[in-house]
Amino acid sequence: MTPTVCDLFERQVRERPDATAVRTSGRSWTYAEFGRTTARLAARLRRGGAGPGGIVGLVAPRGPQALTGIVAILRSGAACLPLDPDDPPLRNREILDGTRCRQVLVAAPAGWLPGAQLIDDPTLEDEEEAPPVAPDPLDLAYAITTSGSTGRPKVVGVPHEGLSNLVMASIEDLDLVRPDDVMLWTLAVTVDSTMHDVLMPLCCGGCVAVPDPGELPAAGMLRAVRALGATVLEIPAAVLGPYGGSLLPRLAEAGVRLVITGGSQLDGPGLADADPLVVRNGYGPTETSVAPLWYRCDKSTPRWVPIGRPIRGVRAYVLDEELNPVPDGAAGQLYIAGAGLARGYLGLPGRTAAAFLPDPFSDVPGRRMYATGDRVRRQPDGEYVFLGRADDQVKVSGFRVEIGEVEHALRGCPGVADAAVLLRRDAPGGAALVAFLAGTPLPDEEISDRLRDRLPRHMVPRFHVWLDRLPLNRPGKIDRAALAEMPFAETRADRRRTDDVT
Amino acid sequence: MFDDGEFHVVVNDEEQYSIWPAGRDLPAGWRPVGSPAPKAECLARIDVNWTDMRPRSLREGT
Repeated sequence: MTPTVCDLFERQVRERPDATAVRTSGRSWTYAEFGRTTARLAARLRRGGAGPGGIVGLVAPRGPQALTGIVAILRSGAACLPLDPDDPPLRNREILDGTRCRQVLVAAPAGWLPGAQLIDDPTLEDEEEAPPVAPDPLDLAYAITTSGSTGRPKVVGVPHEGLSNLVMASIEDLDLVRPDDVMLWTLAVTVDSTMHDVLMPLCCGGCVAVPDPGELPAAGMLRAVRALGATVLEIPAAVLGPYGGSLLPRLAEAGVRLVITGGSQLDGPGLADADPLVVRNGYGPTETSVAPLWYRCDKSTPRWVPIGRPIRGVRAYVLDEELNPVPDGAAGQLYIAGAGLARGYLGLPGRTAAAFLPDPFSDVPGRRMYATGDRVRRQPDGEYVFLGRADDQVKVSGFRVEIGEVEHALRGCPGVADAAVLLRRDAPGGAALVAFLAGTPLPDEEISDRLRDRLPRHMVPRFHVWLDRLPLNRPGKIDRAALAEMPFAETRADRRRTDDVT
Repeated sequence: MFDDGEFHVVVNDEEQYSIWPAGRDLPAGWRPVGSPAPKAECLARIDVNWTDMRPRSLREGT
């Protein structure tokens, strides 16, 4: 049986207690120290009732405390539900309640979370170290919040078997991490790639380097790489595509051997020009354990970078509308099966059933396959190429946004009768969410303020345009194609008053 | 997957629920529950019936 990430980490603590597990600009922790700290916090969580089958919330920004929290929650046997302390408390509260999460770890006290456990609580010194708990491979390891199309956030529950399959493939097959690597943690706590990025080094004896708090633009990444001696880091495809050509040679010079990327389509030149630095592109929805397909860039890689091929234990099918396989080279929807499928959307069995279908191609009866909603084609060499989204789920600043949730929040504003939201790539200042609204016009600030109480910042539309009514197409649905074509000059918020008067 | 037409609510040995187009051969290891219905109705039925999403083998500790 595949060991869980808890087993793999504990083995490192036993076998290399003096190796560095975690490093910041201020200090470092050996495996023995980090093992002790996380075991004490795990013991405290266990005494509070946490264990296999349970979920513990983590409300902390990227930092050594958040890392301690992730590992401690996993070592308690429970699943980790990371939330952003900067998201509206109302939304975070709703997610915690919806997942019946009774214990929460915090980096700093928060008024909306009375009774939460402080990660740096000095009284943890007195806590006995928890005896190892062995979660079942089918128990959840983590739960990740994605934006939901029905207006409610969806929480994807991922079991240990998917996470450890990915970690084992990362170490043994993909060369994503080695025991002498220093992996720079660059992403937000709330994205599933963070679980992969921080846990795989800790499962093989490597080191996690935690940059100073705050945003991490390209220049900041380079500084952090130099300060912490990083050899591997993840850079979102939205950054690596446009800036890789100039950034990669400097990272290589600073000692980076590998750049991991993903999160959206990687589109950019020069990704194999910083030899010996290698770029590997991971693809996958949260529902399939971070990234079940991987691609290694080389000199022959096109600008529109393939998403690669499935890792061990994973199967990928390209199917037509009738769920029949299409030939190599033809477009179809990508379905993923095998190791790594999430349990589903916690508390949303109907939504889960609609996305996780019976797998007619499996040798083992009774298996499921996940409908990614992504259109792809498989090349004759076995590499898959992403073509686009099948529905209107969009990515904004690397975050997955289901338009429906934004529209739902807009419709909750007084005066708003109907709302449609589009991602317009031609917006002034770059791609932006644009809200088309019908009803009694409100000042832009008032709408934005209300939305910020309900939604993370990246989901709040940058532009509003008021129409008498939203255009409908023949089947009676909002005509998104018409909205997508509406000239931008007329949709600028500052022009609309003039339009209203005339 | 196509949205129109009728679907079966189906369940496997792990008591995981899903849907499958009525009239098509059911993949091995899945059995239908109740009579075929439009997709939305099937999903609503699953919302009511699938109360514990843990796989059965985990629930029963086997």
